Amino acid sequence: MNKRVTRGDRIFQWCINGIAILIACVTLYPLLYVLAASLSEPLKILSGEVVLWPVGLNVNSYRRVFASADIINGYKNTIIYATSGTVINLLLTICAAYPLSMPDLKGKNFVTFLITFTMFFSGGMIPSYLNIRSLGLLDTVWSVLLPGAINATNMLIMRNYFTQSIPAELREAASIDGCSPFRTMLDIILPLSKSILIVITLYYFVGHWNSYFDAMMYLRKREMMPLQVLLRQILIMSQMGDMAETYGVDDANTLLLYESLKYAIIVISAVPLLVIYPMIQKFFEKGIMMGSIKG
Amino acid sequence: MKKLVALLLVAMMFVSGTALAEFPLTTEPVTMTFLSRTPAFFPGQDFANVDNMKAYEEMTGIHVEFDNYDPSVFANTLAATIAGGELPDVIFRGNLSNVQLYEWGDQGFLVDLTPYLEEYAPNFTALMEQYPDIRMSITAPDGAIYGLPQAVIAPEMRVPSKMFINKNALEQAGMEQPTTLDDLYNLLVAIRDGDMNGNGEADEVPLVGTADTLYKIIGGAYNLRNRGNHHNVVDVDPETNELRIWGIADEAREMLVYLNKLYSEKLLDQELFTNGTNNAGALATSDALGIVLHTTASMISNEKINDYVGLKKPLLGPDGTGYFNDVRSNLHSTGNFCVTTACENPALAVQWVDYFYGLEGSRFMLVGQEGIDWEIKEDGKGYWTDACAARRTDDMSQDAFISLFAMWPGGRVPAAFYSDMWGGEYSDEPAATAKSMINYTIPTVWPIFAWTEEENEVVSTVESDIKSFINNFFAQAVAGEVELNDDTWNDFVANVNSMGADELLGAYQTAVERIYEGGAF
Amino acid sequence: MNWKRAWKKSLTKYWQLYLLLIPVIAYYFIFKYVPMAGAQIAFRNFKFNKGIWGSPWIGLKNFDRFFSSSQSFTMIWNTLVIGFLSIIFCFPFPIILALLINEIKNNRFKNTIKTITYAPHFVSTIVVVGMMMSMCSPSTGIINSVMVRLGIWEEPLYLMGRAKYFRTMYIISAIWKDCGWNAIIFISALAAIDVSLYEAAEVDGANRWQQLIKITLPSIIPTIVIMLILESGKVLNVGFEKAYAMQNDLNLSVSEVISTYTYKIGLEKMDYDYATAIGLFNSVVSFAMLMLVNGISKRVSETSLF
Repeated sequence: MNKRVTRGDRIFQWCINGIAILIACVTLYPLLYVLAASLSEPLKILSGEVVLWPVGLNVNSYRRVFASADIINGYKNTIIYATSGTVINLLLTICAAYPLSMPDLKGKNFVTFLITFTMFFSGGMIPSYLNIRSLGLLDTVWSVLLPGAINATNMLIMRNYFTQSIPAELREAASIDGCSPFRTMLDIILPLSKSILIVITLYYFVGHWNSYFDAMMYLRKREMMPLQVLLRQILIMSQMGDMAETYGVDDANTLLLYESLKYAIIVISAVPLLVIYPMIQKFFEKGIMMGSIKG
Repeated sequence: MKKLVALLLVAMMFVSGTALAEFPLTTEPVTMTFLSRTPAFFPGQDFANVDNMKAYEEMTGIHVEFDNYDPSVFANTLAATIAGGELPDVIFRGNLSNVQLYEWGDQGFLVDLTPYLEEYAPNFTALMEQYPDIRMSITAPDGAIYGLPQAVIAPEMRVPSKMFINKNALEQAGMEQPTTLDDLYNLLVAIRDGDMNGNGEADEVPLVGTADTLYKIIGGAYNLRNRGNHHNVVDVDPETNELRIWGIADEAREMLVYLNKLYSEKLLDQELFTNGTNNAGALATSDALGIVLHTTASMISNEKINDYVGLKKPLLGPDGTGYFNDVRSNLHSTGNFCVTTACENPALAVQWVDYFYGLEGSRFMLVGQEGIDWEIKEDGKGYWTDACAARRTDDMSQDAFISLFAMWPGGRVPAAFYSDMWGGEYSDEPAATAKSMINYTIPTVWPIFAWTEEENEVVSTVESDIKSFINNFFAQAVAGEVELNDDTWNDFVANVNSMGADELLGAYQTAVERIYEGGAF
Repeated sequence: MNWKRAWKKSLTKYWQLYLLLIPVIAYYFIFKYVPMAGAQIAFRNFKFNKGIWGSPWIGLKNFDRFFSSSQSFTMIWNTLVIGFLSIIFCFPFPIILALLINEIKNNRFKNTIKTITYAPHFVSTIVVVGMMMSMCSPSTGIINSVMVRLGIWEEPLYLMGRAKYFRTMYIISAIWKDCGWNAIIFISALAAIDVSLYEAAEVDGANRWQQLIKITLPSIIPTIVIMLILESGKVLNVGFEKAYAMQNDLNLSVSEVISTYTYKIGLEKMDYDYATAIGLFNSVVSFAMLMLVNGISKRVSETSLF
C-alpha cells in the first residue's frame, strides 16, 4: 500500500460506509421482523405487538414443520435437484454462450434470435405437459431438470460478458498459437470469466431451490418432492380459509399457527441460501478453476 | 320444528335404507381409476390412505386407484390428461363447472348419467325428486347430466353469511337483537363509545368482516341480490319482476349512503377492505370485537366463542322488510363425480357413489364409520369416539385429523350434507343461527345455471367485468373516496350500462326462460 | 457465392463450436419449439376432442373479445404504468448499490452488506405482502405509528387500502426485495475492471469521486445496457402473484393488471384459447419492446443482443 490517502478520499469513504450502513438497516428490519414473527405467539403478530423482538417466545412453528418426516427428505431432494440441475445448466449455457460470442461465427444472430424468441413465446401449460409426457419424462428426475435446462436471460448475460470483457486480441493470440477454439475456451476464456460464472451459478442454483411448479406438475411420488412443494403444502394446510368455500372444520388455535408458520417457512427455506453465495465464490476461486488451469 | 326435522330424517333413512343397493356391489374384482383433486387445505393427501375409503373398498368389492392432484395444478393436469386422450374412469371431487361439464360431455369425454340414475342411484334420484333445484342445476342445455354435485340439504350449510354479535355489547346497548338498520347503527355507536372491555382505551372495533359479506347482509334489508348465493350481479326487480343488475338499482345507492355513514363514523373496521376477518381472533381475545361477519366465527378462541350470538332474524330496511339473501339452493358445487367414456361399467361407478347421497352413506363419507370414528351419545348429538379422538396430536389441525378417516375437509364431495352433524358449520351457535335464518330467506333461490356456450361467452367476460367495476365503486363510495351525489351515481350507472349490461341481461333472460320453462323466475 | 464461402470458412474454423451448439439447438427444439405449436389455439376455438391441430379456426375473435372488453384499456394502462415505473425506479437502484458496495474497502464489511441486501430476495412474495399489510396498518402498523409520532403525517394513512398509494407501495417493496439481488450482476462486472486503469488515474491526480465517474461507471455501461434491454422486455410482465395479493376492492381501478385479469377470466373458467390469446398479445408487445430498445441501443451504444 503505497497509496496516498487524501482528506477528500477519507470523507468519501466515510460517506460510503455511512450510506451502506443506513441501507443495511432499512433492509434488515423486515428480515428481523420475519425472524421475530416466526418465534412469536401468533396472536401477538396479528395484534401488531411484534415489532422487533419475539413476543411470547416459542418454537412451535418450527416444531410443526419438522414434525413432518418428509421435510428432511425434501431438503435432500432439493439439494440433489439444485446441484445436478445447476451443473446441467452451466454446461449447456456455456455451450450456447461461448460460440455465440464469436463475432465471425456464421449463423450466430439467427440462433441468438431463436433463443431470445423463447423468452416471450411459449405454447402454454397443456402442450408443455403433453410434451413431457410423450418424451416419457413424467415422474422422473429429468422432468424437473430438463425443461429449464437453459435460461435465455442467463445465457445472454454470459455471452455478453464473453464479448465485452475478454479482449479480442487474447482470442486471436491463442488462435495464432494453434489453440483450437475449444481449447481456447477451456484454458483461457473460462478461467478469466470466474466472476460471471459465479453469478450465473448463483442464479441457477437459487432458481432451482425456489422452484416448485414443475415438480408439482410432473412428479407424482411424494418421496421425490422437493422442499418447496412440501413447505407450500404445510403452509396451505395451515391457512385460514373462507369456511363457506372450503368446509374446513377447524379450530382457532391451529388456524392461528399459520401466522407464525409462514414466517418460519421463509427462515427454513432461505437460511441455506444465505451461505450459498460465499460457497460458490470459494468453489470457483479455489477449486475447479485451479484444476482446469494447471491440468 | 326440530321434531319435524328429526321425523323427516327418520323417514329419509327408511327410504334410503330400503332403496339401498346390496353390498358388495360386485363379486368379481373390479378396479377403477379416480383422477382426484385433493382438498385445498390438505394438498398432500392420498385418498387411498383414508380409513373410510379403505373400508368402502371392502364393502363394495371395488378397488379404486386414486390419482391425487394438488388443487393448484389439478385443472391443468386434468385438461392435459383429457387433451392427451388418457382418460381415467372417474373424475373425483373435481368441482367442474357446468360449462366444463357440458363442453366435455358434448365432445364425448363424459358419460351422460341420466340413463343410469333411475335404476342405479335411488338415493340421488330421490333427492332430485324432492329438491327440483338440484336437477335444474346439473342438467346441461342438451338435457343430459354429466356430473353429480355436492348437495346441501342441511340449513346449516345453506346460509354461509352470518353476523355474530358480542353479547356484552348487546347488553350495554340494552338490546335483545338488532331488528332494523337503525338498531344496528345504534348498537355500533354503543360499541364504539362504550368501553366494552373496560381498559379505558377506545380500542373497540364495532364491526369486522369482508366488504362482500357486508353487502350481502345489509343488502337483504334493501331487497338487493334477491336470487341467492349463486348469482352475484343479476337479480329480479321486486316491483317490475324484470331482470336487473342490482348494483345500479336506486336501493343500492341508499345502501351505500348508509354504509358510508357507518364507515365515516368509524363504526366499521377502518381496514375493512384489506383486513377482512384477519384480526377478529385477536380482537375477540382482548374483548374489543363488537360484531364479526363470518360463516362460523371459527377464528374466535374457545374461551371467547360463547360471548357471541348469531343474528337470528334479518335486519329490516327503510320499507320495513328484510331477508337473508345469501342462501344456497340445495346444491353447493357441481361436477364432483364425473364418469368418463373410458369407464367400462358406468352403472357400477354410479352405484359406488349413490350410497353417499343417503343419510347413512353421507355420514360414512363425511365423518367416517359409526362406532369406530364417531358415535351418537345420550344427548342425541354426535361425538368422535375416544379411540378416534386420541389419534389427534397437538399440532394437527382438525382438518388434518378428520382427513385420517373421512372426506369432509375440503368439501366438494359427491355426497349430500344432512342436518345435525358436528363441528364447523354444525357447531352450536352457527347451527342454531342457520336454522333460524333459513326461515327468513328470500323466497326464490336460483340454482346454479347451466349456460349454453353462447351465453357463457357473454357471462364469463361481462359478468366478471361488471362485478369488479361495481365492487370498486362500492368500496370507493363506502370509504368516502367518491362522494355520492347525482352526478357520480349517474356516471356510475351509465358506465355499468356501457359495459355490456344489456348483453348480460339478455343471456340471463334466455337462461331463465329455458331453466324455468317460461314460468316465473 | 460470397456467403457460401463465408459459411465454409466459418465451418472449418469453428466446427468444434458448431458441435457445442448442437445440444443447445436440440434442447430448444424439443423443449420449447415443439410445444410452442400450442400457441396457435389463440386463433382457434379449442375443442378437447379435436386437439390443437384439429380445432376450428376462429381468426382474431379472441383478440376482438379481449379488446372489446370494457376493462382492457384500463388494465393495459395499469400494466404499462407499473412496468415503466419499475424500469425508472427499480432499475437504477441496483446499479447505485453495486457502485456503493464496490467502493467499500473493508472486505468483511463489504460481504456483510452484500449478504444483507440480497437476503430479501428469498422472502416469498406472499410474505412480503403480508408484512406490508401488518407494518402499514393504520391501527397497529409500525410505519404509521412512527410517522404520526414524528409529526410527518397528521393521521395514519391507509397505505395498503387506498388506490393512490398502490403504485408507491408496489415499487418500494419491489426495490426492497430485489435491489440487492439485481446488484449482484453489476458487482461482478465491477470486479472485472482492470486495476491498472485506477492506478493510471491516481497518477493523474483523480480523486475517488472522479475515478467513480470517469472509470468505474463507463466500464459497466455495456452490462447496464444489456440488462436494460432485457428489462424492457418485461414491461408487461407485472407479476401476477404480487399484484393479486395486494389487490382489494378499493384499489382495483389501478391494481387490475393483465395477469390478474387473465387469471380471473381465463384460468378460473378454463377458457384456454382466450387465455392463450391474451398471453400471445402480451408476448408480442413485450418482444416488440425488446426489439425496439435493442435496435436503439445498437445504433447509440453498439451494445446489443443481436
